[in-house]
Amino acid sequence: MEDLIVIKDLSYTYHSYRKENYVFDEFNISFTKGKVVGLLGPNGSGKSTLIKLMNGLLSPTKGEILIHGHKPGVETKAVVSYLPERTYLQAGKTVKQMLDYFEDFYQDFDKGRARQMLQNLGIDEKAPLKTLSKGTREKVQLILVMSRRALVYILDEPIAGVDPAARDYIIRTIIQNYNEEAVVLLATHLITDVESILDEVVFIKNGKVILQSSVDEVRETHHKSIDAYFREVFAC
Amino acid sequence: MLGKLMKHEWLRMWKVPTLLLVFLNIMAIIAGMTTSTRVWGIGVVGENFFRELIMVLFIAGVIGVAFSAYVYFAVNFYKSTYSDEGYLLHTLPVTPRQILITKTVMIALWQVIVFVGVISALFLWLVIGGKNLGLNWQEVVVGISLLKTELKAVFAESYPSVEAVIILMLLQSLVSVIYTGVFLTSSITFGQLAKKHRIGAAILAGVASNVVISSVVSFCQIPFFAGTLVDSTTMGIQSFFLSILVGMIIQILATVLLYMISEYILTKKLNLE
Repeated sequence: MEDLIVIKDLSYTYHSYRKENYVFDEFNISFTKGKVVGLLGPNGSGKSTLIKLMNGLLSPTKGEILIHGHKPGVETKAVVSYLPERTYLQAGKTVKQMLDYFEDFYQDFDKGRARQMLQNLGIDEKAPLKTLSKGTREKVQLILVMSRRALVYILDEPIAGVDPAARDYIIRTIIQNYNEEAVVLLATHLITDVESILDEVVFIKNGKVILQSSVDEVRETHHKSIDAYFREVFAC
Repeated sequence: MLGKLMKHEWLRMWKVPTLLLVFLNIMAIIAGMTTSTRVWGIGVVGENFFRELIMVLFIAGVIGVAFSAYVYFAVNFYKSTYSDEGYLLHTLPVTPRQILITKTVMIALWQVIVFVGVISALFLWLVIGGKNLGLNWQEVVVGISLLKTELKAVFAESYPSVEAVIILMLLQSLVSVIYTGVFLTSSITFGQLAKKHRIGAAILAGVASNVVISSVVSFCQIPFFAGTLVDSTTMGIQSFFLSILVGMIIQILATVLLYMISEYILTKKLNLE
């Protein structure tokens, strides 16, 4: 299988109180296409930093990240569809204006697909974003992200802010909209909700990969669900 | 992509400053009409006080609108670039250079529009309320033509020519507009290097850069200012011309330097909260 994302000898440090703190030190991992991968780890394990590094929102101290053969930059941003933990939509715009915005900047954006999903969720295109609830804004954001025919989807806590009923829709949306040529990286704490769609899991602890395995393998080896195994590994 | 960024930045920015300018021009019309009503000049107690109060309030409004627009440009840049919205901006398939150029050009462009809007408000106010302010348009026209004649006479015996001075002043205005845009974006960008209180850090960075750049400009202009004190028109104009030129060159250098540091931070040191 072709590696879509290759991370080699990645180090990332930050300074605080005149001390150099390592988030990652000689971190290596790769992700192949056609899989839905769960990036799992406790708070402060480095998941969000890794995601930011892959999206070019942080620069590595050492090592390199290659996405589809390129370092994070214009080329990778054109093929990576990123859903951050935060709501990044401009409150002053309408849903329709955000569709136009995505259509203008992303060649792989499928406006028809986005409209269909908005309709399914009963979200009015003409609605100003500031009038929508936080949960609905998060749904709009997910629709925008999943309406791209990207090679890499990086979703940081995609279901954290929505009700359980909407979670099912979101999970269905993720699985229905990604293609076999793409990889989906899904960072979440709500493992039970996403477990059914994961092909692979990566456990990260203190900036190190402590497990990268297929979901089936984890279940067969440990006779536990991913959620139960996660609780065992990261028990406080 | 630069064109698309510009288009969306324009769509994002136009409403607030346009509303401010419309408000200012409506206020100018009201102030002008109030000044030109027959209430004045009939000997009511405190009449002069109120007339002057209207003038002061209008001038304060003009300054307030210009200042509010400037604050809006800063807030808009911060929100779109470094707040949550930055997560979208910095993951668009565009370069940090395209982002910075777009933001700077739009701030510069809006400064020009705000300037035109303010001039239009002042003009409206003078046209509508000019008579009661003691303004005689015929005298103004005569005054301008006299000024032109005097300037021509002064510049006839000196180098540089009046055209050169006008071109320099226009260039200086253009440089100042771009410099202000870069100054604003760079101050906010420098503030992002702080771990906490980034807005405070941005204000401090702005004050510090302003002090340094103004000091350098003033220091380099001192020899030329001295020339303007000499009792010679030719030398005075030459010194004035050169001091503006030197100030402009330093401002260009400062613009380039601030821009380069900002681009470096955006490329290598970006760290959204």
